[in-house]
Amino acid sequence: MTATDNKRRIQLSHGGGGVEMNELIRKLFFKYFSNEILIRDEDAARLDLQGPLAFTTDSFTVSPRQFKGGDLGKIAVAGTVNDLAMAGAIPQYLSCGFIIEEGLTFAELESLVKSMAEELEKSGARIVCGDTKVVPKGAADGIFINTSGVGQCIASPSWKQLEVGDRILVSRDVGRHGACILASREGMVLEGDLASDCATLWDDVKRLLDAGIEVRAMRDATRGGLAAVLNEWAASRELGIQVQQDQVPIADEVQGLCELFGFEPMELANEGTFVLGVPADQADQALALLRQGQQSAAIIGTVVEQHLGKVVLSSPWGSQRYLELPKGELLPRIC
Amino acid sequence: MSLRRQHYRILGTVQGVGFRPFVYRHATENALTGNVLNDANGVAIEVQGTPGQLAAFEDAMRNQLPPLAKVDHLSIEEHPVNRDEAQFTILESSGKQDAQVALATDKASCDDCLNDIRNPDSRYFNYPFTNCTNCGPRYTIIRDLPYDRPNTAMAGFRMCPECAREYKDPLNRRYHAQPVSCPHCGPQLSWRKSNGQPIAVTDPLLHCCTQLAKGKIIAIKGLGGYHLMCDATSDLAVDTLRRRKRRPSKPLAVMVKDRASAEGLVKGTPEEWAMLCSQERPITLMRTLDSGALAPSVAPGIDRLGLFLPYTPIHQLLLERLERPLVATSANLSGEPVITELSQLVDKLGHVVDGILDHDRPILNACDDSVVQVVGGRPQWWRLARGVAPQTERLATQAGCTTLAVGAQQKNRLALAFGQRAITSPHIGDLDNLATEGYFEHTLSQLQRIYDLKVERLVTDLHPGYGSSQWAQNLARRRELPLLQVQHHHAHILAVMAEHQYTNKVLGFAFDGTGLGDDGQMWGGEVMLADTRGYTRLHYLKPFRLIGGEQAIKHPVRVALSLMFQHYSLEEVQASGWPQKFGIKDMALKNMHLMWQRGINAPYSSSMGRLFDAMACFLQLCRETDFDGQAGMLLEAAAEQCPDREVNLLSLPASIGPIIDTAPLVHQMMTLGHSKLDTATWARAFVNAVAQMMVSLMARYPDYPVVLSGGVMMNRCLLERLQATMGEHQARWLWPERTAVNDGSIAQGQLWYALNQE
Ligand SMILES: [Fe+3]
Ligand SMILES: [Mg+2]
Ligand SMILES: [Zn+2]
Ligand SMILES: [Zn+2]
Repeated sequence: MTATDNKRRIQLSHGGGGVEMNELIRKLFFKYFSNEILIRDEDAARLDLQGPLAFTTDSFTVSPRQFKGGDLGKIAVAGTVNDLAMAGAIPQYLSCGFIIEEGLTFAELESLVKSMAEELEKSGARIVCGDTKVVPKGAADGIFINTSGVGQCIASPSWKQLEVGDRILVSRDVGRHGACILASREGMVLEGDLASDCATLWDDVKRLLDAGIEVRAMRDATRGGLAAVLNEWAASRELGIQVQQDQVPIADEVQGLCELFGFEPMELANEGTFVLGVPADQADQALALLRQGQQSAAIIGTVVEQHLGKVVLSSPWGSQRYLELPKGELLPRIC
Repeated sequence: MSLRRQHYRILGTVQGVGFRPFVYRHATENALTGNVLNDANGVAIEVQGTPGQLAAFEDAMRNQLPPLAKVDHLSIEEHPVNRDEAQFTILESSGKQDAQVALATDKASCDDCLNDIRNPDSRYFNYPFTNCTNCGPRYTIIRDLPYDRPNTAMAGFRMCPECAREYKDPLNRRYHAQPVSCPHCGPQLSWRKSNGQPIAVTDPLLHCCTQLAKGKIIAIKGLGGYHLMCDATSDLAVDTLRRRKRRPSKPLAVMVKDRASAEGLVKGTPEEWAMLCSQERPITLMRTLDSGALAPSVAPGIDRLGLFLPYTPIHQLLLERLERPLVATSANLSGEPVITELSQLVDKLGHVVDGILDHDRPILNACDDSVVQVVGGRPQWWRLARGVAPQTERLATQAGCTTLAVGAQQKNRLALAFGQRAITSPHIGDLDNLATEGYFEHTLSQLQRIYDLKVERLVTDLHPGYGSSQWAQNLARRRELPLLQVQHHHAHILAVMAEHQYTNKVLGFAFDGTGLGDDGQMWGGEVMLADTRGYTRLHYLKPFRLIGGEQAIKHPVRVALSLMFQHYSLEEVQASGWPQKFGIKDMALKNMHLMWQRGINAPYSSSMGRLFDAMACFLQLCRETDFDGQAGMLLEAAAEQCPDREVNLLSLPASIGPIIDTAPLVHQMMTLGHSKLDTATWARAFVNAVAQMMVSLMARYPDYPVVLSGGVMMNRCLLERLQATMGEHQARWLWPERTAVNDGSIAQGQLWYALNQE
């Protein structure tokens, strides 16, 4: 694109199917997402896939769209790639749909597309088909991105396989994305370096699977954070999950922000952090493998027979409380 | 002479308190024939004799009851005469039908029993487990009704022949005293290491004394749980206890041998001394003397001491041998219920204690020490537990269905109504951990088993997040039970009304911490016109934001900042010097201002308790609180230092409209700045301003009884000021004598609401 393009903004005509749209597709999307299936430019992408497959879709919106550690484009790719990875599938083919509000700058669109392309490289997944719609001002908030993904399964983790005695691990310190977004959305000034954890997790998953770790359950802890994943597992499996509070890794910046706000770090969203359950005898090996990716990975708990359907948090001094499902409003309970 | 036969039915606290021997004695003294029987409803008596004999007997029934007996209801029926009857007999207890008997509470050793343990010729000499029908354990050892030995913690101890003889002799003071035992057949003390391992010592009690005298921290098993005890005169011992228990500043209770020893530590009014020495033996808050006898770390910064006297022979023997005051605090993890089992003690507090004085009589129902203060001669309960709870009240009318009120989140108690009874449990605690939730369920199932109850209706607080509310919601869903909700501060007022059996409109001041209001905001500075159907919110403190929700409750400087933000710009607040004084960095200040401005986790609250917290910050008494009510206590202690009781420098105007404005207060703090404030004077001025506002509101609504409730009302300085300035309004003040002033009363308020909806 030229320098004058940078000042240009997306018009309704860019979604009209005519010359402008064609130009957008070729000069922007094909340039960054280029691969032989995509540039065939047919009505549907023809794929060569065998065996059990995983298929997922998600629509992405985040405010602000640029934040420390990532942007909307990065999340849109990492989110879907991670969903495939969590299902034990190789992230292979993605589709991508843009809903753009009239007036978005070309420059921003390009930077989002560029960061999508960079994120794709981390897993080797490819965008093989796409769609663009431009809506009138006010009908959307800047830009929404939808991605769907399909890939071949090489493992089949599921909460149904969790057993009493299994150990629970997290792949890194929790709460970063939620804390980072909160701080930048509200214009908080912060000490230290609080970046989102936004990342593709396929490398870490592949490392575990290649080493023969029997991953019983695996889930990226997005909305509702660690608390939501653990509660979901405990409730669906009708077992208890016991978590050692002081083992849950939380960065100082996140802890500090949570103390300021009165929030629980374990309830904050993540975009590159996953929770997994493995048999007890593989926990140390799994931890070592995770730590090749993130030093803060940790074994945080155990699946237990007691406390059916609940997650119990044990404090370092021995008292216990329930880690509850995150709720919308936090009303003080202290009289 | 014509004979008549009468049938008595007596309801109340009439079992395990020597009631049957009392009946037996008076029946035989008056040459009556017949029988007496304990059943699950109370006591049933058949007496036959001449009208004169019967009248004398009835007089005794009404006017000469045994010390621990309490009759709620007495009915007499005429029955046909049985001419063949020749004597008066005590019949065996019948099984339980529709249980109405009141559960008796635990009482301190009586003088007769204390004489026994001090008398070298008595077979109870130095025996730490003796009691009689006039004293000793009740609720803490009951598994079921009727109150007979197999239904108690004594079931496993077989009486020796001598004990059995006393137990069966209606004229003996130990007749049917269920825990009757002696050194040959009863429970025994033992000494254990902190890991629970027993160590053989000749006299465990003596050994314990030696350890305490050396400054060691010892867990001692008592009536309703273990205590942690140490030498209250040793700063080192008390500091060690605080450090190990991670309890930096919350005041610790002290146990002394007797009133004479107490007089060396505190001063008090006759009513306070009577309370301290009562058989209920509550921890009584009294004014500390500057005697220097106690370690300063016992109650730092506070001019009051929670004091109590021994209430079992164990404690009595211990204190008499040791001849010094002991810190005695419940053995528990912070926030959890008092520990009753050795295994838990070792697990949770093994690292805190140096040794354990244990015994082998199980504690079936945990029960903490009760806490009370006396204001203007009247008791005000902070915690109703050992000695006074469970509380049983007779209802004027039959409860439509078995109703369970589950209380608040903190200082939880539960209350049940069934038949013509209402029962409120002892203090349970804060429902923010599994152990307390377990204790809540245990307490409920005990009461349900004892009275054979199936809950048919539930009452909760309006706050859906309270542990109690969640528990009740679950049960209601599972069993499809009707559930009522009562607003927190309405419940505070209702609880006092319940004690006075009052249902009509009252002028209620609920000055409290934070409770959910019906508009979704947090309330706590409410003046209500309330009755058992509902309330009108007449006046309330101008709502301010709690920056960070519960964080603002733990860190009151946030409330102080919030109040300033309400009236001044960020720049003005910065320039005032207050944030610096509070130790708030500029970045944190800006962030809190953002949270305040945008309402990010910054709910509005009209809480008077939080205003007290903020004032304690302005007066530099505290920045963050380490325990519930700390800011208020420090403020009260400061105000006590001000010699001018009338000081009138601040105003909290009772406006015509509903909103009680804090602006003048905040402006004054800002104008004065932190350097010109004399803490004691302004603390007193603030308390006086609150009292002044309350009295002028009372004058505006002269037609209703006045109820004052909520945690703020624990402030003795405020209460005394009110007593001094209320004038004519004093006459319509409904004072709660048996109802907690804090959240320990919420369940009773909830129950009173439900009972009056029928
Ligand atoms: Fe309250
Ligand atoms: Mg998804
Ligand atoms: Zn006695
Ligand atoms: Zn004996």
